[in-house]
Amino acid sequence: MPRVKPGTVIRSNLNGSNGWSYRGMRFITHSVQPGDVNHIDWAQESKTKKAVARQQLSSPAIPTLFDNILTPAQLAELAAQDALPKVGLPTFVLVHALDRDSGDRELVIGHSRYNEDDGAPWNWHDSLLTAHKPETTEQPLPNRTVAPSPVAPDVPVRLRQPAADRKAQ
Amino acid sequence: MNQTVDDPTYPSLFAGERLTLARHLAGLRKSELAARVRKSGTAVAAWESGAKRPTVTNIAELALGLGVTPQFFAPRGTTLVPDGIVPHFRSLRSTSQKARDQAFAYGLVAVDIASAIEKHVELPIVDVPAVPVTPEDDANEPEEAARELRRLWGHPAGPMKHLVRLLEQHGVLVVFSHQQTSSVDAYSFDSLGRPVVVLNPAKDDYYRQRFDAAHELGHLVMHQDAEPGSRLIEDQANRFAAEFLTPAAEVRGVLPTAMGARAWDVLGALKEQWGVSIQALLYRARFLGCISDVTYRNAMVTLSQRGWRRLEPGLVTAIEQPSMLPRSVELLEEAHIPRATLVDQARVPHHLFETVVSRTPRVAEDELVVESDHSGVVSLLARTTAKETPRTSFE
Repeated sequence: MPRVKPGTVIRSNLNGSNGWSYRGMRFITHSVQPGDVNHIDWAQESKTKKAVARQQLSSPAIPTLFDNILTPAQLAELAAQDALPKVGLPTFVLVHALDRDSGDRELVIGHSRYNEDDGAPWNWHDSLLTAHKPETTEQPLPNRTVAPSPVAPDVPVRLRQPAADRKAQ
Repeated sequence: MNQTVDDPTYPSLFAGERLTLARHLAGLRKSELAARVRKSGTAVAAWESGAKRPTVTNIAELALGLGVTPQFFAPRGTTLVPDGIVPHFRSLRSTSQKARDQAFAYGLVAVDIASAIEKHVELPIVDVPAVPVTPEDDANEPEEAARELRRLWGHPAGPMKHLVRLLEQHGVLVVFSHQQTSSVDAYSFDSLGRPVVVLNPAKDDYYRQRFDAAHELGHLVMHQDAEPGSRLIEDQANRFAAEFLTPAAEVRGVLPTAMGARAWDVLGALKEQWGVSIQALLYRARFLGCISDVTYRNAMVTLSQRGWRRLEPGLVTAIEQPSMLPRSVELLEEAHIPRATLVDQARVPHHLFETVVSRTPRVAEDELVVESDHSGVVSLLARTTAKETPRTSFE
């Protein structure tokens, strides 16, 4: 997991829902019965959860250098998927479930989808508890011994003579 | 140096191009400036072209209207940027002329500041070789230029450790643009003193910023005589950046050839190893023929569905920072040459000086009067009058 600097995650409730924000994105919590993560009907939930599931495009993504080989239809599809909310910040939902008898837990984060159409409740979601296990394959992960870094010594600069003399005085 | 508008020398200290520079920084058309100082557009045009000379009162009104000191209009001894130089801006269609004029004016201010600082400090010698390419699409010239630059700079195989520092070590002036001009992507131009790269502070993405810096380096190396802005020129700079950051000979064998779950893990690891985004690596994999167009497009859709087009997962959250001007200013302060002296010598507004010599993008929106018109261009000069009225003399 990447390290997060202290003080960068801040409390950011949305209406009555518990929420936190980090780098311009908000996460709100939602509890469900165990096994129901893929059966949430957002249309039946609170106004806040409905609003989050209906987040609309508020501004286009910064164009990337790599869009230029896509067709207009594909670009439109990507733009739609870049949809951002009008709920202040881009908001994702952290769904949690606990089976009191077995102690089994579920913790899922995702971009909720307003499923009035009885479709899936998620544009995408991912479990935070089941770590992705790498598949075995012949292709090794590259080693990272020479990774670039944003930390580097300053470029060398030095005083010209008169200024250096002034310092010496 | 204490001078005021009442100083009798002021009428002779006016250069039209300085008025143009201030107007561009303020994000105004001639007609808009004319309305602000209650004069005709023709008068402003004549002052800028040098056909007519403004009176002392005119100069004072222009200074107040634009939010600069009257001394800002005094001529510079030398022209640091040759006439006719046009910066390499991307996406010309989506950026207004006004926004581009403002961005370039900011770049010129950065050159003025570097020039003032360089009178006291020895900065790295400029070593950016020209490797011109033909404006044709079919050759491998951008890739060859990138390999040639790696060779000329004596860079060993492998990842580029720190792009901004590499540019600075070879004499390129790298600065962050002003937050208010962040609708303009990174850009670059050549000045007589040293080449300049202005990075967009709004991206806040380490990996994309590195690609931006390499892209602008490509323009400086390949396109000194090319007409900026065309699709072909921009593509060539992208290809240069891709080869410079991820040489084909080194990455072809490790890029994925099919997009299973494992491929994403490989891309994530390559991203950290080479310091480029997953999107750039996918583009590279397609360019080098490792994956097909269809696979590329599907991968882009997957990436978008995961929300990664906006924000890819990545371990490095700090962006690369310039050091040439910030370190110089620190050094001069240690030698008892204060910032105020440098501001005075560069003849630029103090807050612009601070933005140009900053190590990090400065968030100073409260310093600025937000009076944007429909173009979205906001003055870089006007200060909130509640806090501070424009000064009419240097302290």
